Amino acid sequence: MVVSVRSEECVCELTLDDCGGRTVSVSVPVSIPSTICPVELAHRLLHHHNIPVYLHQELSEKLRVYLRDRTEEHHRKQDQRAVDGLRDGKVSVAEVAAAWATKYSQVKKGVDEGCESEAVGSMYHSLVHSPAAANLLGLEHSFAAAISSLVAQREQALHDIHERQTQEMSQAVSQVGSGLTDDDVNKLAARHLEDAQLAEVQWDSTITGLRESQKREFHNFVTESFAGREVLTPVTPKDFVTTSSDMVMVEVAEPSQEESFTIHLGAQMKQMHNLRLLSAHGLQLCKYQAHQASDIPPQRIQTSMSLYSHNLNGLVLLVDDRINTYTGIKREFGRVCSKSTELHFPDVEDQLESVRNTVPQVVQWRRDHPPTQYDTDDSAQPAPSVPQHLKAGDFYMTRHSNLADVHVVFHMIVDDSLRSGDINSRHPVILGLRNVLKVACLGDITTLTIPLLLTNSMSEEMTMSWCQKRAELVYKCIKGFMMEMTSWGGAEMKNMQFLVPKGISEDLFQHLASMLPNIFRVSNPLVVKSS
Amino acid sequence: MYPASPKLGLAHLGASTFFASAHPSESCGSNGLPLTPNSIRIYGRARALQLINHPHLSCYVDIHRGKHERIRVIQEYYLLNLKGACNKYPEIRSHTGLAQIAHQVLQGLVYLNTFGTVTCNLSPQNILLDPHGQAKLYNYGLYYMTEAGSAVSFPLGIVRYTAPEVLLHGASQDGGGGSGGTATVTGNPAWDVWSLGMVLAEAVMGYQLFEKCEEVEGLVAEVLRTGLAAEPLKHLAKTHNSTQKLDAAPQELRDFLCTCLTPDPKDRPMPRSLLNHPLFRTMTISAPLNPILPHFPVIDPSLCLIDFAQYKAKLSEVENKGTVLPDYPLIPNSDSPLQANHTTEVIKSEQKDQLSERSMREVYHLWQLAGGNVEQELKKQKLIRTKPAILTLPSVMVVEGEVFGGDASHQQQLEATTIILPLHSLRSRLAHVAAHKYYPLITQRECGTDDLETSRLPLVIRERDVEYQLHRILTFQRLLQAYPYKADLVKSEARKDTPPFYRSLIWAALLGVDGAVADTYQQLDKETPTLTDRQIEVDIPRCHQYDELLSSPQGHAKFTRVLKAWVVSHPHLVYWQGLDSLCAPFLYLNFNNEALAYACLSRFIDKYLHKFFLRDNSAVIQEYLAKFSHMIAFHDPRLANHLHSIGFIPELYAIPWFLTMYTHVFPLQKIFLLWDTLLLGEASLPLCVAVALLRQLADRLLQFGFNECILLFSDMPDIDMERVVRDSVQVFCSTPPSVTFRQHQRPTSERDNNSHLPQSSQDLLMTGVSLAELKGEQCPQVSGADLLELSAQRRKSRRGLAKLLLVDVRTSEEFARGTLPEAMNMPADFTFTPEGSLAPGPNAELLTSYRGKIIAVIGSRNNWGQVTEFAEKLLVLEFPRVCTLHKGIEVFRASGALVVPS
Repeated sequence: MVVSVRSEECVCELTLDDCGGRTVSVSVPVSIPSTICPVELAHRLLHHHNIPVYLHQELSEKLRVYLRDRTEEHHRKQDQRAVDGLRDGKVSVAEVAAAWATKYSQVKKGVDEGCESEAVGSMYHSLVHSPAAANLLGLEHSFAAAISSLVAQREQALHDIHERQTQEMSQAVSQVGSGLTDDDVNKLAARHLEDAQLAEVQWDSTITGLRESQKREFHNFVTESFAGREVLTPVTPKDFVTTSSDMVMVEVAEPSQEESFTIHLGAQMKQMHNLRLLSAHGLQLCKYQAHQASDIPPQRIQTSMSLYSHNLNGLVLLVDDRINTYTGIKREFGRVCSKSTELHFPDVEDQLESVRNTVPQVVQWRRDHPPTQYDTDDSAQPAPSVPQHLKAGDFYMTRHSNLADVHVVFHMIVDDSLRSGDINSRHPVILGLRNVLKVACLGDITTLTIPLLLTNSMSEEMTMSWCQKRAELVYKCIKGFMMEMTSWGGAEMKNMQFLVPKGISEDLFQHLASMLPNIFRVSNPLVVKSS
Repeated sequence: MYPASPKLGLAHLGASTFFASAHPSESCGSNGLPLTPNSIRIYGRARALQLINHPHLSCYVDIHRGKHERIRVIQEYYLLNLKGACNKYPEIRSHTGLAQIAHQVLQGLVYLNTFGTVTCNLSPQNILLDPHGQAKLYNYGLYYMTEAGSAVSFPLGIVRYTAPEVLLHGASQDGGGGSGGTATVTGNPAWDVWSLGMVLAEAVMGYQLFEKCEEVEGLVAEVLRTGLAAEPLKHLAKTHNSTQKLDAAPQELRDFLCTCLTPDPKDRPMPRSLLNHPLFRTMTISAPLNPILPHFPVIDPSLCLIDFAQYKAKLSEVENKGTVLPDYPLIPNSDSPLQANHTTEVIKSEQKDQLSERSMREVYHLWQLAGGNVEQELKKQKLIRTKPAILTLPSVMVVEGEVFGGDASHQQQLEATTIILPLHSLRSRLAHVAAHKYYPLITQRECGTDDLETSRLPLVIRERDVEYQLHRILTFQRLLQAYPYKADLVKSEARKDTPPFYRSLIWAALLGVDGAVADTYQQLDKETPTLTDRQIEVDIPRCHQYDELLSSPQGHAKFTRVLKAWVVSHPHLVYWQGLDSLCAPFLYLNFNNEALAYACLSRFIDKYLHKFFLRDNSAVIQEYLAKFSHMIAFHDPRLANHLHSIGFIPELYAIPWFLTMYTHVFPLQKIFLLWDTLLLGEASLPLCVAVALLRQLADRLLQFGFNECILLFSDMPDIDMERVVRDSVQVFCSTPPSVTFRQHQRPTSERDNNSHLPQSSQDLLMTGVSLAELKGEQCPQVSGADLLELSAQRRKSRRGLAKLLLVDVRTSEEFARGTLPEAMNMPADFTFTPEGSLAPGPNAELLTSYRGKIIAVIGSRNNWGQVTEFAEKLLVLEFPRVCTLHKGIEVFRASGALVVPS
């Protein structure tokens, strides 16, 4: 709070009485306020200036008093200046008071933000680690099943409508001229559109309705059972078996290639980490694997139990700079999320909405903090304009309770520069990965999955050598970041998973797997293979 | 050890916690390295507070650093503070009572000023009263450990008692955050004088000051206005309608208050001058006001008298302590009645509670061993409320490192609450330990823990067993107090194990640190720039930086000082990289006592690394490595052959092992384990450790080629250190001393004076062997004396097979002319088949049956090639423990040990 940054240099001049009647005068520059040990200073002076040893005691005592007095004087002067300033009206009482008020207001915020979600969260966390967990998970599971069956029905119904309309339309088109006019066709098309939209809206509202009621019931269930009251599970796990056994969308997990390593990082203090290379689609981690509809999938239990813990799972998804769920991998992701109700956090759409609302802040911040120009000569060149959206290397995050193996998704913005073969460790996406690790470290995310090649799917130009080069870069950077992480004072990265697109050749996979132990120096390889 | 940490007495151990401020993301220091986290800065600084030992300052017992920049402080604590005491006891509320308190607080302040800091945090809540009515300042170290508040985001102190100039400074600067390293901690002692004045004025008037102002803004304004008034005391009285109460106070007290509340900082007196105020005329100082530097050993001539003075002061303190205040709240209300009863009982029968006679640091150490965990306690009592991580995540992070959304900031105000660590579980664990066990008699060798069952369990268990550790601590405390007189006993006790609590001092004792340690260190010039500064500066930020203490700025500063002191004081030696690692364990253990760290380092290098730090140390290191190769061949011929065949020589991996005595390769906790034993052993023990290390990795090494071996050692794999320690002792015991003889080892007094021995005995001793010869041979040489001694043991043992087989490789004619008794003749020319295997015969069978015992190859010094060749052939056949007789059979001629074989 009180930092006396200014220090003064001054020369300490002392005279010592030699017993023989001579006097020794010492002058030594010191900086005030000083924390020098006077005894040591005295020894140094004796040593360097050939002063008789028996003067040490006197010298050190005099130095001590001098340093103490000067330091005190220094503070006194500083304080007196401040008080005089107040008296003379350079600062007013009100100004100082206001400054303190803001100081306190800054630190006070965040003390009592014990929001509702936190309360529910802690209740949920204790419930899920209690005998009541079975009921709770059963409830969640049944909710999920209900929604996913509804979603499936919707898809089916919309598909049916589409089929029918196509048929009608082709019929109508074929009859154009022979009884129907273009106008009729247009009308038909308009009606079709209306029908389709109506159906969609109806389905959506049904689903939303169910979601809302599920959320309410869930919330109710958690609070009630936490209070120790017996709650009738609205839907018991058995209920939905009959209703939806044929409806549960089950993704058949395809056998994927996978290899694991245990490594130790650090010079003296070894920190153990698990590394895993797996070939799979990024979203496969989000989807539940094949399971019996009546059973609660094991990942679900695992994920729920660690949801409010200090061991979270994260996944990095590569997306473009538009924050929505309309195209590409974003669309697929949106679909996976909407298969069941998000019972703990806002729906994914709402989360994205809030991210979109944050973007102007980001833009403003960028404007206020232009990158430092080291080249002063280039001042003529105008600074690059600040884009109105997020740019490559930025990421936004969403939180999920209804995905299989993932709690947190990092949506990393990428651009086409990643396709080129010669990116280096200063590429924004690599820096972004470092930021991901930093957030993971500070946010207790201890399992993280990263696309190794920084691509969602393979394409023509990604040759064997391209892949090797890219993998080497990412491995090495991640290794560096992981070693750096220990100094950030957060959680350890326990499991680091590298993801490569599904369907890469066995050869390439093996090659990438063999690079890993070399780069991370696996001294004691533990190779587990499943394929 | 001295000054000892104060006794527990009737104190509680209180825990409080706060957050250090986080650095703005991606900020770097002036050197381009990332900034040290503030929590580490605080942690490093706060260590020094443990040195404070004064009856009116509550003791800092320990400090921890948690995840996410959390700091936890454990301090001596009492349930009653000045405010509560004033309400409860009229005698404290009275004017004389308050004067007494003021006097005690002032003493605390003066001590603190001499220590080099101020509290800046004085308030009625932070003046505790112990059951004897003595004032104890609490939380006074906050200003010091947070470097004048620069490492935290919250403002220190309570506004209503803070001096106006402090408020003015605070308003003009940004609190917390960036400014790294420039902050000073001296502060102005006059700030606390103002605060003391305010606290006392409040107590005299009986009103809470500025009660009506609830907002900070109003409070600040009130304080400033008081500061602006010509006579702040009158101003206060007027605004609080208590002029009468003030007038009722004696003149001296009023005068004292007036002096404290001098509005001009330049006129306000310092605490030390206030001690002479007439108000305190009748009172005496309760303890010396100068901090005493830690010293070891106790008989440090420069400090004896100070100790005596302190002892006298202590006596008087005991006398005037008097009785416990009636109805003093000794136990927190929250305790269940049962526990409460138990605790009161224990406390009432004070004589029986031995724990209160132990020092607080010791009690805290034991409490932790008994399962106590401060973080758990804080959580249990709701002082740490962690939000689930998933709710605090940000929503957007840009590539520049700035985050948006989320609630990751721990910016919180200082939580003033202190919780009390419950000691009843520790008390009940130790309830059955008899009182006399607390005072072990060391002169009569009654200090054993042998009667405890635990003493036979593995070290890991012993280190975690409360009762066992209690006994060890008690024993060692006594022994260390008697050091150096009881140095032998310290050593023999340390052979059992080293209690972590006293490790630093035990190590110092084992290394024979003695003399005026602190004085010697003070005389060394640690400031003047030298040529090695640059290298030291580069090395320190890479040395054991995973450790919080050693990575703190204080740690770096101390590192530099100790290293520079060593370099300056050893002009014939130089700084080699690795000295920093070597220094690390000593500095870690003696963080508050640089002088002892320096003394230990010097002694250690003298003993174990003699001549290693010469400017040209290649001869020393080469000899060491050659001896190491011999040791591998002696103990593990298979491995030696393999490493030899792939050309993986010790030069490639073992130099940092020996040069840093393994401190460069292992983390501190493992080094402690290793050195506990290393320090007990001879200077040759490190060689045995290296053999034990290789042995543990032998399985892998045998399969590996050159490249894999290099890789394996470039990043040392995880090692079972306990096994290494066990194995190395075993290796040491099974190695004849002359095998590890080195020309460059430190001459011990015995070996030094060989010259008085007759020629016949001198022949039998080991002498230096040239480096070329050492490197040319694969098997070690053994001295005649060792052989004679081993054969003597053979005669004593009854079993047929002895430890030793003597193989005379000269021709049978020479053999017949005279050899050692019980030597076996295997002429070199006929023993081996051309393929290198043993030619069959009775002698070959006998040789094979001795596989695993020491096989000494004896020959003539005139035909030395024959001897080494024979030994190496045995080595190829994977015979372990093959050695050759140093200087040939001729050495025995003078001593008459040779006989004609029958």
